[in-house]
Amino acid sequence: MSENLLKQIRNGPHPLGLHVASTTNMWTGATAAFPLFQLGGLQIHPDLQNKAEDLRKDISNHNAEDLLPFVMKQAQSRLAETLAGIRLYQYHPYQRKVKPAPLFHKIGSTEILDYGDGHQSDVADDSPIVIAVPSLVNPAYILDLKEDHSFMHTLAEMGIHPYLLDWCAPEDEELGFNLEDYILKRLIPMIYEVHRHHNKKIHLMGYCMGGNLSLAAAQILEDDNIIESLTLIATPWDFHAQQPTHLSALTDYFLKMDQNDQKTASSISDMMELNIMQLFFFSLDPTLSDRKFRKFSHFDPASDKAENFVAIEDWAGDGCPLSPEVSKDCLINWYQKNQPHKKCWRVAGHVISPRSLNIPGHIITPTADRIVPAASAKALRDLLPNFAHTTANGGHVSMIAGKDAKTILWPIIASFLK
Amino acid sequence: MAKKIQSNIVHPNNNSTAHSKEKQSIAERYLDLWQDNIRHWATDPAAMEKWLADIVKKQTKT
Repeated sequence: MSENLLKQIRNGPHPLGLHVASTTNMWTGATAAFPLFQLGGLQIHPDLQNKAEDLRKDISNHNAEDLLPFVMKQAQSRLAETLAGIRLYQYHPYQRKVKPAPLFHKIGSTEILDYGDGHQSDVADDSPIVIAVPSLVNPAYILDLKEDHSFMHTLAEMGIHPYLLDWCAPEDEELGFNLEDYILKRLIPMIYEVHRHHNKKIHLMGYCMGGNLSLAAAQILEDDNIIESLTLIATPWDFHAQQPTHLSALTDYFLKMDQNDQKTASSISDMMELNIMQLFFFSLDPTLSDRKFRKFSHFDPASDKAENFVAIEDWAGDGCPLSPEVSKDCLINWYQKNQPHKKCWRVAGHVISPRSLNIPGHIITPTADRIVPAASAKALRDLLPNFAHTTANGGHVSMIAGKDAKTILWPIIASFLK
Repeated sequence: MAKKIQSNIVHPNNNSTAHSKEKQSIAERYLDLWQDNIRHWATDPAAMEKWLADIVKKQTKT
């Protein structure tokens, strides 16, 4: 470990025990199952049958006992690499030190930050005004990740006046909020504030579930004619499309936990714990953490690539707990009942119906999104045939915040807004 | 001494080294397949459902 990596900065990824146990099981299990694989006793996914057959043929040219030490050694080495990657992450010196953008307005705990301020040479009076709306689950700063890698500042440099809505941690009033409250009492009043200030129509841009909230707001505000366009980035719509098999059991379990907590008045019923969300994300692909940290163990810790990795991981493990009613809305009305796709998600008496929108828009879907499966986003795209469509390489987060986003996706988004 | 040095030189046609490399490559392919297999099952709900249904069917037959 180099001199720069002497101090432990963080103790993630969370939940740490789950990540370590999973990678340990993966590689010890692989070794133990090798004889079973040779005998054809391992259940192989249909897409991998040919690959498995080819491998079995090649194995049959060798003495099985001679191969096992090679498998053991490789498996141990993979486990060691992943653990080294986790350690490297924990000791990496990067810490986010981004100066917050000036506060434009605050309602309750929700803030809206002005990223045009400080960019007077780039942003003019006739610049398009955009409000970026992130998800309620993770912090808003994914759109302003690093000083030298900020979507918000890049938009301003491109002559767009950006505002970032930061939901912040729910406080007294927001603790009783459901999704409808966040839309009606926070998002819409903030849109009005910015509109009043500039006396111009607003481009609304939602990321992840921020897209769903923006879509609802755009529909409710349609008669007021204050929304210029709607950009939806990695926004889910059909919550049952490509849903992992275990998800329904998982949501049932979370809800049961919540009911039990209400009886015993413990803290989980007050706010959805962040670790529960991390558990949910982990369950979407149980091999991702191992692959990610193993790859990271080979990065030069001083490289930009390593720093970006740490910045995104820190963000993914950060966040505020959700209010109980928001958690229930997401788990019951979205994930269980699939209300948006079944045309029964109501906000302020409106059934939220993308098809009814009469504003221009842009929909962006990532190629390898595990949080919002392609089929879920596609269901929304099908309902918005007049929207421009961009397929972005990468996953749910890397698409918008990865090192290539600055040269690939951000200019495409800016070009639509202009 | 010359003999010792000679014995340490890896000859391209050295059978045992070639075999080792092949075994190492097989081990790597197996481990890649192992992880890929877990990922495929975990992210393919329809296939997973079918697999579970087949197992239950087999068990009820026996």
